[in-house]
Amino acid sequence: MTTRTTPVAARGTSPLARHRWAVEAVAAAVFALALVAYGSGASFRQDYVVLICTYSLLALGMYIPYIMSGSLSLAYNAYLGIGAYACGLISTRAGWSSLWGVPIGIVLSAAIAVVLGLATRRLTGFYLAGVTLLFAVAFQVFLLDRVSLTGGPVGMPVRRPHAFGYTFTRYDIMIGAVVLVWIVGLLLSRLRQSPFGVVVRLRKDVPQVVESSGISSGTIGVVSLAVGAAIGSVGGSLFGMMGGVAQPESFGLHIIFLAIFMPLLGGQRSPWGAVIGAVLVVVFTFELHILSDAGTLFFAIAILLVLRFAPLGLLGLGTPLLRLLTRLRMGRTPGGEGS
Amino acid sequence: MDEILLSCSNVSKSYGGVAAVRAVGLELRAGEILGLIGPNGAGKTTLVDVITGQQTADTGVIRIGTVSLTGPPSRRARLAGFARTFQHPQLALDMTVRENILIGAVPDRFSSPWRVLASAFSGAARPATPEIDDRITDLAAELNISALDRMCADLTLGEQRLVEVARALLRGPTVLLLDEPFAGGDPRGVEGMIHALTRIVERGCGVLVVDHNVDIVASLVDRLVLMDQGQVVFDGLPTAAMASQEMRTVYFGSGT
Repeated sequence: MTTRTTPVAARGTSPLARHRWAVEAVAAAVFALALVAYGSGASFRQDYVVLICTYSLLALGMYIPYIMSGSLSLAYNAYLGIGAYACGLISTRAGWSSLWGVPIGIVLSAAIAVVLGLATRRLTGFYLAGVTLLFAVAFQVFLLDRVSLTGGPVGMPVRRPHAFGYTFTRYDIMIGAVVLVWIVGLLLSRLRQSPFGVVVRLRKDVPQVVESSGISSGTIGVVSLAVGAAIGSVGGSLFGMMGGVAQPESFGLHIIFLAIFMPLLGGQRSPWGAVIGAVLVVVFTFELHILSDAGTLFFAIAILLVLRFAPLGLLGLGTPLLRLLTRLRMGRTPGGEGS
Repeated sequence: MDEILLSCSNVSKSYGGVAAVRAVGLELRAGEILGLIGPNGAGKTTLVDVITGQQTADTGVIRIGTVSLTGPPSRRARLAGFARTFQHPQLALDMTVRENILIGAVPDRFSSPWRVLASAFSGAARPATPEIDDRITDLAAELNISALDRMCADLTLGEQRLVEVARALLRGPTVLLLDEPFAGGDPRGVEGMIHALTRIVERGCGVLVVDHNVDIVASLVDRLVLMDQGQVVFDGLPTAAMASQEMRTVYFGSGT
């Protein structure tokens, strides 16, 4: 055995890299505060912020199975719907606080994701996407047809959440939504760097290595799907509580097709890319009045441009810049560290 | 070196009408380095794939100790303590060297669905693994792998093979299967690899080395198995193998 060397991670890295988690938490908190500040204005802005947070949680939910693990499940409108309808059912049928719908939605969504994951265990790529898309369609039909349970096309009310005698306002819900995205984003960012995240990412590119290391690639895939579904369900719960209603049209397939591109637009190497993508989707499709109805078209064009000129997404553009700055600060020549 | 770790008896595998492996019998003992050589298409890699479960045998039995080995690769790897490298290096090219090696240290954390879930939660809470990082750094130094934070896409073929070997060694395997580990390697890397192999067989590990570099393999192994057209044609000491009629016939096409 040779003499122990200093771990490379701790050898000659920049202060920015050494305090990575703190920097990331603070940067995300600044972004979260900006969102809260924006939402503290006119009432409709609170809806926008919660919509951004809902889409962010949807994109973060898809991040583990889709971007990290390479399993494209298209059933996420169902998980969003389950979160919202769980809050509606628990508050209107049982008379409980709709907050109880959050854990119920999480468990139900994760359970359905596990069942779907096991059923599609041997499927990948297009076939997995196709089967889960069928489930997404079936879920929407279920919401429309099961009038006695779901209220049919008009949906069902979701009562304002309350706890310990306090009823949460729309502003409170908005704050909660922003904090949730901040927490989930940070946790996923840490998860990505952890052994679990490394194994999940290896599964995407070299599943045979995962298998030959004694780890069931299928189990990793199913757990990834379950965690992602649980996160998506929380987004649906927030959306339902904010809007006061759970309707089938809110959980259509259009959401999925937007969600697929959120991390591609924002950046794939960090969960924050999914959040940036979600913000851009809402801005393009709802907020930019100058674009009128062409917002979705502009979103599509933006996707094309990003895929062409920044394959790692907008956040990916920052990495080479940061590396260059670090090298300049440390007085190293390009490639010096890796040689 | 008496305990038989791995045994194959009457193992066959065909692809359509082509018999890649034909009624092969093989034994690997504890503390032994076994070389498996033969020309292209001899069935060496197919045999390794069948042993580890990447391919399913048509006939035959593979045992680890006295236990018959069946099921998917992950189950076999857990049961048998297998670790392997591949003929074509299997690395995630857009991940770092350290990340590609790390998986060798963590299989126990993923042995059941509940442990996988627990690993996800604990990973979010505490992503850093300093004790594993230290082990990776030590192993990398031994194998002459530099700059662990490089992307694997930036590595030469020889370096990629070293990373695969490091990943397999980190697992602390009972049976190590190396498929062409020396191809494209630089002398320092090969030297480090041989040193590491010598060290793990001293601990009772069994190593199966598949390679085309007959000279290196013959100087390293305790026993040499020669395959040709899916069959074992010689099994014995390296010196005997190198001087054998079968070796001349397989590699030079004549018995003279």
